[in-house]
Amino acid sequence: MQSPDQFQVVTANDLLSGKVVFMTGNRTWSADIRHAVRFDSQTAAHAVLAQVVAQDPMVVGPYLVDVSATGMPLHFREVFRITGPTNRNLNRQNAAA
Amino acid sequence: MYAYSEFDRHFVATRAQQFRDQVQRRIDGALTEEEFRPLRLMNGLYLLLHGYMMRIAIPYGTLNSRQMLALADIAERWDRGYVHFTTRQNVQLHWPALVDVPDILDALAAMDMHAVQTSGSCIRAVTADHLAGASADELADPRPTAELVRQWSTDHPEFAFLPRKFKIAVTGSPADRAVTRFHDIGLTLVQSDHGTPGYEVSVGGGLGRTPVIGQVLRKFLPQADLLPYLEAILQVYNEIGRRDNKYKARIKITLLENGIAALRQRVNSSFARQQPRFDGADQEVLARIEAGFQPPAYKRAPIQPYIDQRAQDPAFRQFCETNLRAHKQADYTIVSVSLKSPGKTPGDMEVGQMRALALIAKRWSHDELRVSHEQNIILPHVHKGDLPAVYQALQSAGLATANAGLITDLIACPGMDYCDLATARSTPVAKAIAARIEALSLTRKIGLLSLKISGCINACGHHHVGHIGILGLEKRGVESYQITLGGDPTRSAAIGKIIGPGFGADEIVNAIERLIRAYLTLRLSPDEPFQATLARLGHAPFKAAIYPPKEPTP
Repeated sequence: MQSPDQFQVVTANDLLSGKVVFMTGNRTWSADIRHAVRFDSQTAAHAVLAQVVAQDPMVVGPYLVDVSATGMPLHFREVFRITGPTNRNLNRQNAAA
Repeated sequence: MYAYSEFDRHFVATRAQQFRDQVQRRIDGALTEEEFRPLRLMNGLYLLLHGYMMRIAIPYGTLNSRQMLALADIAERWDRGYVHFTTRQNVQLHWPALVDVPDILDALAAMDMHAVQTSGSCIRAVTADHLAGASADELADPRPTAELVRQWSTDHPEFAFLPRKFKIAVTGSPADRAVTRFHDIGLTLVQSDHGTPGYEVSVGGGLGRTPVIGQVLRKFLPQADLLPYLEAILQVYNEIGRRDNKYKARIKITLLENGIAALRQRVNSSFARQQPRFDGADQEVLARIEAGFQPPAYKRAPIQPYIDQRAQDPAFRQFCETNLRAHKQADYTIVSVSLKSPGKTPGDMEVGQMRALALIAKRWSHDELRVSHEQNIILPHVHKGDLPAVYQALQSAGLATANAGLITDLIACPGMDYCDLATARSTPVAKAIAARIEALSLTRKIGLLSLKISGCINACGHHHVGHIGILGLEKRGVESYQITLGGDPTRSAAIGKIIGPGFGADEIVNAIERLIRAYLTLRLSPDEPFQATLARLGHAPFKAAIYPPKEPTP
């Protein structure tokens, strides 16, 4: 049972580019976590994750990330994963374009 | 330098072609990720926090200018305009796309380079003293041995599926700048009492979650017995090394569990079977390799420009005091090019700098460059008369930071800014410490002192062997940094001891400042190194400085 203000999103890396991606509501992948579909039940999140593992060969290493009600990751590792390295001035969105 | 043979060229080109086919089959769906993963790792392609990372081998850290230029071209065309040099003398691209990796491997192969055995449970790219073939204190050049080991270990079918990765380092100097005591096998070139060349062989060293100082397995191994002896060690490890637990699978655990005497007995027994199989062909190969490592055609020229510049330019003098090492030729010197400029990430290099340095090496260092495990680049053969010009060119490229061996020349792994194994960031801490020390103008006052930072227990930043080590961990959901004191990567090897509880990211820089100030107060004179002060006084006064009593609350 997770707390009411805690959700989960599915993340992975895109096979071809390696970029960090998040699963959207229509089961496509987006580089923007704001487009990620949030699950409020661990059971539902794990079921979708299992589907991705079994059926989506174009992403690598899918897993679940805990996010807050605003959709931001709760763990600092996942924050760095979406903001990019903190040690140099890389504009992640531009560089990813 | 070693020149690739037709066999070498064919091998790396074929591997690149094979990987192109494997990538295509992965994209087409013929290979699952589970099937593809070991194939990509065999070609140095990892998946890290933000995406793919490609680790390119620089065997024993030796490069020529063409290769450095090729790396710059690759970083510009297929990455984001910079590379990261590692503590294993390799270079990493942190943003390659899978679809581009076959082209990158082709580009590397065209320059006699590859990414073979930079990952996986095999014998990894062999490392060596970065001052090899140049240093005044060297008994013999370790690179021919390192190249022989590279050729022997490349795709060695018996050792492709070891219990875990296996690292070999070679040094030809008693100073041991190759950290041999902390490698699975450390080879030190020595001579017998009768002047016969051979090796002292240490085994079972390593860092990571269980740091172990390697022990001498064989005090003197005749040169001709090297490969059968290495095969014997690897066979024993392959047979009795643990495969039930990855944390206990390195040969250091085999050493701890069996003891050096039992290990030696097994190795000797295996060696007795191996030795007759080697009929001297390997020594003929070694002789051919050695022919490729002849000293460059040293020039004769006046060194007066160096003397004059040193007398009149204090910045140049300061650079010479810290960044030069004694060369075996009196008129020559070795230049350390620091990749630790203020505000920069340790080990990172921009493509413009790579190109500038390649041209400097071509013009003034007999076309040779070295990557050091300290994440710097070495110009191994610079005539002293050329030093003013070299210094000026380095300055123009932003590469003339005069801090080699000083505290701001600190080592840091990529940490959680890139690595998916990391438990905390390391490079921002490294930069913040360097900035604090610089702001206080303490860098030169402190003198020679190594500070090494790892972002997790795997210890890629060698924190165990830093005079001061910092280990980044996660504690209750935030980054926490643990300080160790007293590590030593040389023959007098020592593992740093944890000083006490860790510090948060916002406190670690203050803690290091308190530690440094304590050292400056406690040392008998500016000539007493940190290690000596620590040995004389123990940890207590440093601990008291790092953890001052809390002010009572009013």
